[in-house]
Amino acid sequence: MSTRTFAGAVLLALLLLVALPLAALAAGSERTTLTIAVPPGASLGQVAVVRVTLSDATGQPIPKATILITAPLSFLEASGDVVLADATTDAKGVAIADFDVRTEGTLAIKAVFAGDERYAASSASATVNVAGDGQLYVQAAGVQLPGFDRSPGAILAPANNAQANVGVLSGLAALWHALSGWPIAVALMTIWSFYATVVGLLFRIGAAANEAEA
Amino acid sequence: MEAVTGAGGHAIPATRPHAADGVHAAPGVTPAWRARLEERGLAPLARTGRRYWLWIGFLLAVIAWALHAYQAQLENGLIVTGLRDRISWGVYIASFVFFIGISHAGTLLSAILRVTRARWQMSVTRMAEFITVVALMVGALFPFIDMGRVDRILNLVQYGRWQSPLLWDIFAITTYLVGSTLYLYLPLIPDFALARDRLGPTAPAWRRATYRLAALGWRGTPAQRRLLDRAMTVMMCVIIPVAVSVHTVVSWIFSMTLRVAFNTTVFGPYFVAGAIFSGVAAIILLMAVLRKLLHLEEYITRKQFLFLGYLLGAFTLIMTYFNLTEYVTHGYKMEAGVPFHFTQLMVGPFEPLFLFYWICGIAIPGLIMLFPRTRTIAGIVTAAGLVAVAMWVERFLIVVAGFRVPLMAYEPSDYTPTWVEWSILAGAFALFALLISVFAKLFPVISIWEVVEHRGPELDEPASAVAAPDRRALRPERAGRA
Repeated sequence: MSTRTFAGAVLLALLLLVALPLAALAAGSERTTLTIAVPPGASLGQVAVVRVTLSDATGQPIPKATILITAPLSFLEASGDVVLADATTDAKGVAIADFDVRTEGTLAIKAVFAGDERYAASSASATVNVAGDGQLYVQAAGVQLPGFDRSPGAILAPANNAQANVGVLSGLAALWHALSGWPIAVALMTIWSFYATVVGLLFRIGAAANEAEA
Repeated sequence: MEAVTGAGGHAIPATRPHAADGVHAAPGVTPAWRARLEERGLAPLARTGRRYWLWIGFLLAVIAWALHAYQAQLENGLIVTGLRDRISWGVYIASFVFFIGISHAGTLLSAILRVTRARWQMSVTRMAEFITVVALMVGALFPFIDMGRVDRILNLVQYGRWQSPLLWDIFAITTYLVGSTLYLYLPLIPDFALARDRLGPTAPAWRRATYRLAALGWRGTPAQRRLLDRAMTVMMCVIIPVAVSVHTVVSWIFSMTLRVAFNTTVFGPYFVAGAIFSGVAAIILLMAVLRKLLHLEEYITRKQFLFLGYLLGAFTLIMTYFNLTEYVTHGYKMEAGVPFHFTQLMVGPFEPLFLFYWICGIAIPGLIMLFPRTRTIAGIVTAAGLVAVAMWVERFLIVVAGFRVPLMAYEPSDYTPTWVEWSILAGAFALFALLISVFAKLFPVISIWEVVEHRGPELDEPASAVAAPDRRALRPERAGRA
């Protein structure tokens, strides 16, 4: 065998070594298609629902596939995609997930199918315009007269309170919650009314001096 | 009536008629004794020496240095302190609890003693009330300093929740500060009138105008006395529960936090007891300093030191009781985190401070008050000094050791205060001393009218007894037999 023939045989063998596994891989991973549907707009603090459909190259739905819903996030010097929710596709290839909208502005949502032995990975993106502002983690804050942070009506209408039906102790807890603020306010008003009385007496001391001089 | 001199640039003519002249006086009060008391009480208002200004200058220099340190903290953030995410409370919060604690003694003790009509305390109530107001003013600064971003205090106003002990604390301290200021002012009215009538015309016009205004036209008429008595009675009754509630609320900031070391129900009364303990020590120290500087030995005798010393001694036992209760209950159950906490306190990094608290803050002061030989003015002042320092250390242990117990499976952090924290702490003590110095220059440090009307001279203990302490001096009937 000539040198040229030997070199050609080696090159062919190398090509086969690389190409054959790639071909096998391509043959085993069917192309998939992911579509995503999100509401065009959402309010800050509300729940957004994402609907994702996964299908194969022929348009047939792919059931029992895990879909991750992610969004980009940065914190200090770290950044990356954060998983907001996950869901599994049903027989129609549809997965529905929801998540709390906690960032104001345009939120880029991405649905990701990681792929498996049979299907190739795929992803789809969409944007949600989030409107609104405010403190997300405080349900009722500040002084809201009358009734402070809860309406006094909540005490008389416990049916509105989910805890009220659980038991006596939960009912008492709900009552205390509804009353929160009132004991402090009453105590403060009592003490400060005494202070006001003393200040009034001080004015009377001054007035008594004027009377004595008169 | 003899003429009284010795008030430096501003004469205090005792012959000048005063509204309080002719009112009923306590047994033993002679015109000469009373004139001497007024001279002693009003002299600091009329005379300011060079040493006073040097002292004020020194305090201002320390405060300026503290402001420089605080500026560094404002510019760079809390990173310039030893505080980090795992131990986020340190010197600042320990000092906050300390100052709020010593503020207790003043008004609380003064009110209790007034309610019980204890005559011996009449000459020290004013100092006690000074301490309350000043310590509250200084102590209330620390949470702001600890915040780093002081503007975020507005979040408490905007988003504050009734359920938060932090909000309760703001209400409690504000209410106590206003009440204590009122309670300080009320018995000052007759003394303002005295200063108005007695201070000579050479006193600065602004000062005479201030006393005239603050005296509210006090003439000592029966109607005015009745009104003042009623106002003081109201404040006496109100301020006691307010004072107790303030330190209870301060303790709730800790005990309502999910941390092993703070997980105890005794924190409320324990903090109140600790506050009175350190507050009594502060009163004794201030009493000793002002007595020496203003030559008040005739009015602040060994009796005041001894009675307050007894209170201090009793509180060493009360503090021991509370501490043991806490250790035994925690130690018996040994929940997760408790072994770590006990180890770090007793044989770990906090061992020296822990031993200092027990030996110097509890054992030695208790022993000093136990033995008649050491129960002298010098001994009592030494005990008070030890208690004051030890109680700051105790607050440091509560705060820092409590935060050091890991909440999760991470390595415990360490906390070392930086120069910024020590400088600000020094500035706080300087501010405390400055305010006391200014108060002592503006107001009589003794409630002159109350001493005249309700206390009088110490008939049962001669002034010489101060130099030669004798147990029998407190038992006149036995002393008489001897």
